[in-house]
Amino acid sequence: MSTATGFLNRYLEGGSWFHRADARVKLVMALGFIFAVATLPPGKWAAFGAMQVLVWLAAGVSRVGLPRVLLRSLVALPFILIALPSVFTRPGIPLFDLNLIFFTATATLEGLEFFVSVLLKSWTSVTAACILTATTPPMRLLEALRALRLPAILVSIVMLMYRYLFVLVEEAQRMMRARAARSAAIGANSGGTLVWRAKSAGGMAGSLFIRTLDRSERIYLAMLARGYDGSIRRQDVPPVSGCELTALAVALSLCAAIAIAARLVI
Amino acid sequence: MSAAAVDVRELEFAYPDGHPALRGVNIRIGAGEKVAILGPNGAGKSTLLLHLNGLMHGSGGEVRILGNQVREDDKRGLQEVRALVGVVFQDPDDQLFSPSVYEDVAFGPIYMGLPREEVARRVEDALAQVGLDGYADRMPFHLSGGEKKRAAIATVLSMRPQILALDEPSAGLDPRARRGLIRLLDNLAQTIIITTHDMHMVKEIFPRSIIMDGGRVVADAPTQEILANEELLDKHGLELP
Repeated sequence: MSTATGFLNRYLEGGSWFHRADARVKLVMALGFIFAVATLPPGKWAAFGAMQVLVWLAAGVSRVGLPRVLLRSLVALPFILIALPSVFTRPGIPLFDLNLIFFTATATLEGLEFFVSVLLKSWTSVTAACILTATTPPMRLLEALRALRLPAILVSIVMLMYRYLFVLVEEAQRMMRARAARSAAIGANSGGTLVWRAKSAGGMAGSLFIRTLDRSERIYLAMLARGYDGSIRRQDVPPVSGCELTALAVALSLCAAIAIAARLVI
Repeated sequence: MSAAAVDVRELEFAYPDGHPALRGVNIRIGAGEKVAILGPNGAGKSTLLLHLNGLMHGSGGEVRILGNQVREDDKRGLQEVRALVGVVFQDPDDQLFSPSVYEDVAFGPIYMGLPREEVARRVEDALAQVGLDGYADRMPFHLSGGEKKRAAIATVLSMRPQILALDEPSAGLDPRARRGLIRLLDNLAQTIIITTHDMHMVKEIFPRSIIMDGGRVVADAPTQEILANEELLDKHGLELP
């Protein structure tokens, strides 16, 4: 249980403005911010800096703890590697040559600038997303997505997935424990062949799938039993307060101002 | 004579593979009765429960709930029957499918088309009834076995059903959780039908017992009488408490 929840639950209790604010406001704020960051042209360091200042200010206000936000934001790093080839593929002023066996790759200043920009943009965006998920319970986030007109069926699927991921992880862990309990080792020939082990792992995956399918049938029956008729109904959510709307407007204007300034002024 | 809460006549049902699960079941249960259905695994107990609110439909015979026949082709009637009969499944993880306890308990009332305030009131009442006040925002996954069971019962109580059908409610609970459940069931005013192997619980709070075996009702009598008939219990794989 603890492993599954610890891994999946990003929400941290707290009493900051971000924790109290309506999830819709936070979601639009985060999306607006990320959109603004994405539109910044490469190499506009002042604008990147301004966005960094904004996101870390938000991290401070959220009182989640800067080291924790920093740690979580690092999940973006592996994905940034995808942009690494651009250092060599972008035409521009050559910086250095990299001698690979079959050809020589030339790094360019423009390429490097582009890469660092992508790196900064992704990192800034992910940091914003981290603050959002750390201050908003997943369910509120899903409600906010629905309020923003994401199709109800998609929201329901994600909700069910979030609910049953834990049950599934637990079921898988139980199966693996059962296997471990019977995996005694005597002598050098223990463990079986690789093929045999692969077969048993495949069998486990298959049986997990069948169990999941059976469970989905039972859940569907439980939904029917309580009046589910195929349409998805949720309760209406109250309107956003004027104060929070103002905060949202200020934040979005700030993002827009930086994005526009990056194109026109700096 | 007023209509029985549950009136099952000559009910027959076979699984898609042709295996018969119910072979002419007759049961009549009056309003406010508390009835336990006993019998070995595979006797058709759970299948019968699923017929009570139209989740399954027999190939023969009929089911009447408070006088209304449950019919597969009557969608509106089915919705009404499901508001009258609250079915609680054996595994609470099947019953609790929402990300929070509140949403799960509110699911039924929302589908009944109740206004927001009424839904909130019913959720609060149902949670108080099962002793889970203050659990509304909890995630079902984080609850203990006993709490999950109570939450599962709350999800149907919020629909204010007149009949509760519970599938093995005390299975897998520790003694304290089981004790709490027995107290809860004893205090509920609704007509209650359970399937169970928990003979102690039956003896304590269910005045009437029905034994099913092989898809048939083989005994239907006051619990005291049933428990006194050792031969009968033994024949159907049941044990004296």
